Amino acid sequence: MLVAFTLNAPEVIRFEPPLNTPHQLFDEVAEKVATALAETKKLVSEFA
Amino acid sequence: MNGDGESAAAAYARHVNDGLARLLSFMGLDAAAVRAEGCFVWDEQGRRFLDFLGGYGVFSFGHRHPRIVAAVTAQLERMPLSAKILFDKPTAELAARLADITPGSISKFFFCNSGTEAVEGALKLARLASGRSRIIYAENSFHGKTLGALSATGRDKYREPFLPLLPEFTGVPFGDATAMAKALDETVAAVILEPIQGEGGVIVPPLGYLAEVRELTRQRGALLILDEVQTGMGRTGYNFACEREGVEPDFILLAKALGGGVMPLGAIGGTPEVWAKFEQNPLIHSSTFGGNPLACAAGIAALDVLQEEQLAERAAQEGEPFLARLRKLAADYPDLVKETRSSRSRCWSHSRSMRRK
Repeated sequence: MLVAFTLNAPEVIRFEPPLNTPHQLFDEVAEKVATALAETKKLVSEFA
Repeated sequence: MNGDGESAAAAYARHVNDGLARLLSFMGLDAAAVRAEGCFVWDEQGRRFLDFLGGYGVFSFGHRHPRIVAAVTAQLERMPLSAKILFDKPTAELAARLADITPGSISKFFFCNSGTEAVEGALKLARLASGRSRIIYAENSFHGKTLGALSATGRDKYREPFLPLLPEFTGVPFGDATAMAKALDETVAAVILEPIQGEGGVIVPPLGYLAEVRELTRQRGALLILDEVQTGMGRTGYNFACEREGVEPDFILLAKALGGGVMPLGAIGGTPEVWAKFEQNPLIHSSTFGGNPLACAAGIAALDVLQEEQLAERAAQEGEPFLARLRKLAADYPDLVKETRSSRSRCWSHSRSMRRK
């Protein structure tokens, strides 16, 4: 599970990874964000 | 968790803060963390979490960086806390190391345990050094939740339950040098700013803003406090974010990653000029645990890691491709993503709008 958020500003998804994060993890995170956005868009369109 | 087999979530609800427990549970984060390493945290069921929250800047070096853990372990075996009767070598060494890499003529350090303590101390020392009382802060800023730091925090949702806050604190729009010029007069002790607003949503001011504020404060005889608690220690592609504009503050505030993700540690850095009156009365501001050898050993090791692994440079290099992908996603989903912001490297935010077409 990817955790990237801020409790203080729920409208913001905030990415604060360690500075020594391996390169491949960024690809993994970008894929997870893309998937989440696609699923959200589908949900929004279903309930529109 | 306890003798009745109560879970950590239930114990939080009963004995820590039920509102916090419900918030975490609502987000699906109601398990207890039991282990962490690098970018990952594991819960008691063995589930692995990819931690891109990073403790809001605490874990810039990852969880349990082996070099930092080793330094802390070694110091723990020797002497974790100060006896307060002799000098402490780790404290002295950390101050000297920070003096080498902080901007301008900052060469004096007071150590504490957190960012908000650093803010509190800096506000006091600025008033002491300047002989003035007014403090100017930026709207939408975040400097901490203790009373003095909260008085300099420009977020109504944190301020309003505790009004009235300290007098003689004035908020101005962030990034607006004209508004700053209007507010700055001969009564102002200091301007306190984050070089990039973190909690406010990763708000990067226009290039030149910090330099302009620096010049204005010099002209009006006020001091400049830069809160680098979140932006410091390589976070923005520089050791300290103020390096982006070559700005040299009178005070620099550090915490979070300064402790290497292993120990709580905060610091106020200042120039010899702003430190002079403090040195005349060195006990006028102090901390029982601030600058303890265990935390300072973590800080020294954190600086070693920052410099030897070239993490500021790496942040700048690695951040751009990820940012490009986020911006592409923002373009692909304009109804969901309002804006993507970055500080050139690794302070990203992704604002979203859930409005329907």
